[in-house]
Amino acid sequence: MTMKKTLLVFLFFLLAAPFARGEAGISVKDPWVRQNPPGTSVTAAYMVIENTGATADELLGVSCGCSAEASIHVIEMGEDSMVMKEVPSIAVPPGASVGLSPGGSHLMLEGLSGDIKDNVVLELKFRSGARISVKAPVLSPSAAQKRSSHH
Amino acid sequence: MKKYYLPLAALVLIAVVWFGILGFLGTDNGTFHGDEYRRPAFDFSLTDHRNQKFSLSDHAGKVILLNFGFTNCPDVCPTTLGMLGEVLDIVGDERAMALFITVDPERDTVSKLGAYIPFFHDRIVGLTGSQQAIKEVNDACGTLYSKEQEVSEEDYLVIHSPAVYLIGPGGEIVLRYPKEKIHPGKIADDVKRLLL
Ligand SMILES: [Cu+2]
Repeated sequence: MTMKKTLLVFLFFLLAAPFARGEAGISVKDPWVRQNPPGTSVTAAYMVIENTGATADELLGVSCGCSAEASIHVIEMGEDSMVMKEVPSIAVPPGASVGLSPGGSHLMLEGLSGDIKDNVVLELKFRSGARISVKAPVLSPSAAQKRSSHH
Repeated sequence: MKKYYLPLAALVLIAVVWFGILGFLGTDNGTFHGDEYRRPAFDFSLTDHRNQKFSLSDHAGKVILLNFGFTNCPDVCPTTLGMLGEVLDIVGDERAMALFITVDPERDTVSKLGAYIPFFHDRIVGLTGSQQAIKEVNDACGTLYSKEQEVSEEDYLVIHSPAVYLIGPGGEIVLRYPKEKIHPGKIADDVKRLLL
C-alpha cells in the first residue's frame, strides 16, 4: 500500500518534471528601473528576459507594488518621431534573450505612489505559467547612463 | 647628378604638403559624427526653468545641444537627458550647454520644469513658452510634434522627434543626430571640435 503510494508520488514528479523545467527555462537578468524625476509619476523598467527552455514563451503582464499601473510597451519609429505603443505581450522564443532597454521595449510604470528609490519588486507573468519576481535597483540618470553604455 | 637633388627635394616637399592638406581636409570633414544640417542662424525667446527669459542670441559663442520632449515621458526623454548630461560631463567646458524644449507647454510649466531639469544636470536648461513660440522653434529646426489621442485632459502623450541638434557658436544649427547616431562620446567629440 505505502509502496504504491510512493510509486504514485514518484510518477507524479516524473510527469511534472518537464513542466517544471519549462518554467525554469525563463529567467530575468540585469533588471533596473529608472528613478523618476521629481514631480513626475511615470517611469520605465528594463531587463533581459532569457528563455533557455525548448518551448516558446511570452511575457503577458507585469505588476509593481510601486505603481498603480504597469504595462508592456514597444517603440515604433516613425519618419522622425518615436511612438510608444502598449502591447498585450512580448514573445520570448526558445533559446532567445529579449532585451528591454532605454529607447526600446520597456515596462512602463504609471501612477507611482511616490518617488522610488533603492529597489522595487516587479512581478512578471508568463504564458507558460511562470511567475517571476525580480528585485530591480532604481538608478539615477548617471547610473543609468553607465549601465546602458556598457551594453 | 647633384643638380637633381633640389627638384627631387621640392617634389617630396610638395607631396608631403599636398597629402597633409588632403589629410587635414579629410579629418576636418569626416569626423563630425552627426549629420550635417546647416540651417541659418536663428533666435528664439522662451522662459527657462528658473523663470528667467532665455534668448538664444544671448548665448552666442556657446555650443548648444538642443532636444525636444515633455516631462510626462517615461522612457525616451529621460534617456536623452541623461545622455546629454553625460556629454556635458565629458566636454567639461562652461561654453557647452544643453536645452530641453517642452512640446507640452500646457502641462510643462516653469515650476514643473524647475523640479524636473536639475535632476539631470546643472548645465541643462529647460524651456517653456506659448504654444506659438514652441511651434516656431520646432519649425526652425524642422521638427514635428503632435498630441497623441487623448485619454483625458490630463493623460496624454506627445509624439515628437528623438533627434538632438547641435547649435554652433554663431547660432546656426550645424548637426543633427537621429536616434541611431546618438552616442555621448561621439557627440562630445563634435562639441569639443566646435569649441576649438
Ligand atoms: Cu512607455
